Amino acid sequence: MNNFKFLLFIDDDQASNYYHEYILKDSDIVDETRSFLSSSEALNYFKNASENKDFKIPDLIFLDLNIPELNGWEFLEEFNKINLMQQPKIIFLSNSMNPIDKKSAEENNLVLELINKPLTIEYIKNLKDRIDIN
Amino acid sequence: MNDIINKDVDIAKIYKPLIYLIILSCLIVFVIHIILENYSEVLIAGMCIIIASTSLFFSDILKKTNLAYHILLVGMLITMTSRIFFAIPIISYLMFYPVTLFFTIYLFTSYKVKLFYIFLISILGTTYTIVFISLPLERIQLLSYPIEISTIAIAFLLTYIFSKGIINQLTKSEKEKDQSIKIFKAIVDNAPIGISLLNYDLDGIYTSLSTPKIWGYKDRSAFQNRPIESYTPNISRENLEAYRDQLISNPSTVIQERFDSIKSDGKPMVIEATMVYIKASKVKNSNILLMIKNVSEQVLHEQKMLEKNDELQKYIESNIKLENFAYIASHDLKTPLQTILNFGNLLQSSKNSNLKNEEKKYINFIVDSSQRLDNIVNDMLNYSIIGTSGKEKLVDLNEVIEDLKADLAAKLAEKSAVIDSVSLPIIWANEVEIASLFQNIFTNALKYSKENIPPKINVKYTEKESEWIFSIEDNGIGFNPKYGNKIFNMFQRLVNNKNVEGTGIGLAQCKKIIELHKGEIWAESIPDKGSIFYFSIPKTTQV
Repeated sequence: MNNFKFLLFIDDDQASNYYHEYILKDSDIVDETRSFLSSSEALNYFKNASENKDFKIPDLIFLDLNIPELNGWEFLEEFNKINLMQQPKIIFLSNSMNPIDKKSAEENNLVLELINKPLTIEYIKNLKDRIDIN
Repeated sequence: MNDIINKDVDIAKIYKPLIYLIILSCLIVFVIHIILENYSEVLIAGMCIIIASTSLFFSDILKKTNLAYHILLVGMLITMTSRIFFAIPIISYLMFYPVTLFFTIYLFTSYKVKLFYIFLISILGTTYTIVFISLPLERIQLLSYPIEISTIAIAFLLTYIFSKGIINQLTKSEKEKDQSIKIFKAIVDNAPIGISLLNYDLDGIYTSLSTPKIWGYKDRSAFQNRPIESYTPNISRENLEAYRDQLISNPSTVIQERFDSIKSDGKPMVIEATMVYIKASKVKNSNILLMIKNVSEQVLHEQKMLEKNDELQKYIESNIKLENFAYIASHDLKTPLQTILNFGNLLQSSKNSNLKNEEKKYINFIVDSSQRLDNIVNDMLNYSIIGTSGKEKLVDLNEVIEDLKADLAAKLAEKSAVIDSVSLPIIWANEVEIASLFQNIFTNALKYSKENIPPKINVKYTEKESEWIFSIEDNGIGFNPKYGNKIFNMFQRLVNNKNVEGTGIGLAQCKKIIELHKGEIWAESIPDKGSIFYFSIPKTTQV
């Protein structure tokens, strides 16, 4: 079973990004992680893909629902407009399980699911198995 | 007129002897004329006997006195007419005249005759009698005398009877009319509304006594000569005319308006005026029925109601705001809290820690407290979002319990706890919320179980006509029943036990869920024996 090659975090909470990247680095199931503190930064990364030698399409994007500027849903809308070779799966991260968000997440094809913070190693391992099976 | 009615003469008393007299005398005349072979007189006398007997028959045997009088009257008329043809004495004609006159009046006016006619009849009757008596005897057929006499008597009797009948009828209808007017006035004058009848020019044709009372006046004098708009200061004549025109153009409308007015003692009041159109043909020259009601109290109540409503609305809004606030606050608390927990956990679990034992202890305190705070924040979040999602649908509670057993499997195993449930019904409920209700009560039972005794949870229900009542019994430590339903209040914890983890929100959530379902929740307990939680859910379906 292969590791995840590249996971991307979009969250305005630096501590949260740091923590998630830290535990994944420790776990040896992910090759590389990267984080953006705002949705616009993340959108620019994808929009300017051709100018960026180091550009990689992430296997998964962990997107905090409640980020300033464009929130999770708005980011999703913009992100959907960008043409990518391969569509990464998006996982929403949230501090609060708002049932409305949860339902919308279930109905949205781009979104794999909505999960509560913090992300755990067990979840990532589990997810890897699930995605491989799929 | 009343005097005549009061002198109650029994007509039957005069009538009977008279009839017998007629029959007897006519019989004599009848026999004598048979002997004299004067057959025209025989015929007349015979007719008289038949008529009188028939009348007697109706009066005595059939007890239809009125009909009996009629028969006598009509019969005598026929007799008299025959007599004109057969015998032609001038006096017969004279006698015939008043009776015929009376009969005609009677028939064509059916009692609605004026007293003048009765008077006229009497005069004629009297004249006839005088003429008859003053005639020389030889001009009268002596043998027919009884017939003439009885005919006169009948004429008088009938004149009397029918004039009395007419007078009776007239006074009766007058009396009835009087009575109905009295009733009508009593109703109108004592009604709690003022009633006026206005003509086209909006002048009052009739104003009920109740009308001035509305303004606090004792009688109508203060009202009589004042135009309608003078006692409704806020309404102009133009206004009233506009209403009138509206009513006339569309007679089926009812106009109802409220006006500020001033009572006789200077106090302000609100009146409600209702205007209805009345067809001019019914009461001459009237157009509008105006009803006035003092609605000051009602207006006051309505104002109070509105204020209360406003208050309630504000309360609801502030409640919603509070819940929104709770949601936002707990949500924003989560992020920094999560960071503390995350890094606290990292510190706790890092293998190559340089931390001293004392420092590790501090970290443990920090992590423990943060964890507790996190639990509270999570519960507050859950509390604030109760009822924001999902709709009521048919929920099989057996499935709910089975799912919960699976979810709680680890916790149940840890304490060797058992959840027993009878076969539960399918109810209308919000599935997510009802599951969380059961979960809260179950976890409570596990939390507050007795040491070293495996928790036993029993779910039962009873069906009532309009609701289900569920009970969840445990064998835990229970609570002092004097705290009763306090346990359902937010942050209320009865157990001061550091070992028991609880935020004091779980049962408040249960209460909110049950309130959402329009049911009730309560609990009974015997300390050290266990508790029973009850809740009811109405059967009503939400369409």
